[in-house]
Amino acid sequence: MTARSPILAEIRRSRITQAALLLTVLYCVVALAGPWLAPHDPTSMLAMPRRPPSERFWLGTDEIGRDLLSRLIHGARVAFTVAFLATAIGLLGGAVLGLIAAYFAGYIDSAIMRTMDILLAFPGLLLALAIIAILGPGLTNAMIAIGIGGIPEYARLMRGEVLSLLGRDHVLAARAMGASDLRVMWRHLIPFTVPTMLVYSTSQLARAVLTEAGLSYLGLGVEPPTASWGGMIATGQAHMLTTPMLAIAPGLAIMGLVFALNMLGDSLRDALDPHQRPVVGRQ
Amino acid sequence: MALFIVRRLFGLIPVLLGVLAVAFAVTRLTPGDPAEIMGGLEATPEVIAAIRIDMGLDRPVPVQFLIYVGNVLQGDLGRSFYNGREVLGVMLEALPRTAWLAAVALAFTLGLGIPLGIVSALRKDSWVDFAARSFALVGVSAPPFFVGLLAILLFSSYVRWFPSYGSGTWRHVVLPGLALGLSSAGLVTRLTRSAMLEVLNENYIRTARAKGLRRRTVHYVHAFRNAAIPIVTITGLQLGSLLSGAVLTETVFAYPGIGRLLVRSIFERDFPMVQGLILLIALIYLVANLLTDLLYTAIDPRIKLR
Repeated sequence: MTARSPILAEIRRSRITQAALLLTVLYCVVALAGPWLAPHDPTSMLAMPRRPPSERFWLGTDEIGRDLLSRLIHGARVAFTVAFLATAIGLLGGAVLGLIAAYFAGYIDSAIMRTMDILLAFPGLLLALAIIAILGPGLTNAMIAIGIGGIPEYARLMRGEVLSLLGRDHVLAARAMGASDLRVMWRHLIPFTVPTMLVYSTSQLARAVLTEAGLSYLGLGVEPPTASWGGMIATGQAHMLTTPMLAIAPGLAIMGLVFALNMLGDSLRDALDPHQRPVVGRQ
Repeated sequence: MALFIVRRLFGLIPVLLGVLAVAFAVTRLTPGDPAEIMGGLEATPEVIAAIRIDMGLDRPVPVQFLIYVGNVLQGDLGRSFYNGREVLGVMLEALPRTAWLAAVALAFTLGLGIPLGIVSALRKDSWVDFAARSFALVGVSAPPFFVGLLAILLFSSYVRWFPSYGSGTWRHVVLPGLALGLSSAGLVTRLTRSAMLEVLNENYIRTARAKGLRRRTVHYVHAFRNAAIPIVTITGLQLGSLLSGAVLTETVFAYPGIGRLLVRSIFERDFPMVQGLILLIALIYLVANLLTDLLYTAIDPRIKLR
């Protein structure tokens, strides 16, 4: 990324982008340094259930006496792990398929893209639920399910990008000089698609965080006693009247992270392509 | 128009076959023998063998798939492992409740999203704009089940206006509809604002103003109608989000629609029901996308159906 990079320019220019980046980095630090930052073990019962905030337990204790703050911090690790790995599965799977479809065209293109159309017939969470119905609940399966759900959109995006690159002079020159298909793809196509794919991944991260939270809320994602924000809301729900903090704190944590990732994704997309503002419209 | 519809319907056939294959895979790829699951713990090997033959599991997989497709075309989606009832019957009982919920959610989505988006664009950079954009961002970032819980806390526990769970009256559907519609409303607000701002800079709007037309006519007849196309697209696509969101929202409010039925069926390993529901939701989504395409022409005659 050079000094004239539009992404760096956008970060310098927009305070909203800076705030979103700062918030995302803050969440990242909390997720990475979780074990050192968390004041207590997130799975140990340390005190009476549903204690109010105190000097020892800054946010109080949960429904079975575990430290709420420590569980929130460890929940960030789970959210990031699932979001990053699921997004990586979607990105790699979709990018490879989209690249092959665009490059080889013809029947291969039709076969891959029709398969993607089938996957796109399942709205968001439903595909993840169908995959979890097959694989069973759990952290790894949730990641796979969310990742596969992301593949079709990445494939479409990658296919579009590669199609627009195939007619460029440098690609034609490489082909004319006898470069192999693999070399053309690796050296002359993939590097040019990286910025767009990475920027799109930022908003996919937000979607993955929300889907993981949803699956864990339903009891089909991360399994107890591992701390996950969605699961914490599900167990805290029963005590909304007496101890609303149990559900509100993880809910706000999800909202903050999704907000930051969405804003960051929107800003970066604007920076790369001002015309491609499907939802954002930051005017 | 008729040709376009026929062509689109034919185009749906391979996608529908793929959707059927995914639904079929739910029972066939799941670890364990479906006949053993259906027979239960106390089934003898003879009973399991009989179930295998009855379900056609002794035949090659492609033949099983063809039998499954044939059965689906005849409206036979099998029987629930859980209570032995016909899957189609149970689904059709739950479907109107989810349709009702989705309609209320859509009303919140459009009723909040469009006016806020328009006002936000017309009063760009004012406090109204700031408030509308903040609402939109919060709406987009909040998980629907969390919004549902906050709505229960506020409107059900503190002020006791609406019940917090169940179904039966219009009051039961208000809070789930609000929770479900809010995130889509955020999206529609943002989109309406950006579409309106783009349109308001066009020459024909300047011409309309120069002709001395009333501001209201310029804004709502000339500007909004042209800004409506992306809004229709997003609203059509949002139906998918509403169906996904319904899974979560119905769970929060113990609302007996198809979303809650799906989650319950996954927990009960009631595969015929899961299979049927996946098929139903995908079908609704595909039809909604088709209707969205058709709506374009009604709004914008410049778009030619191809």
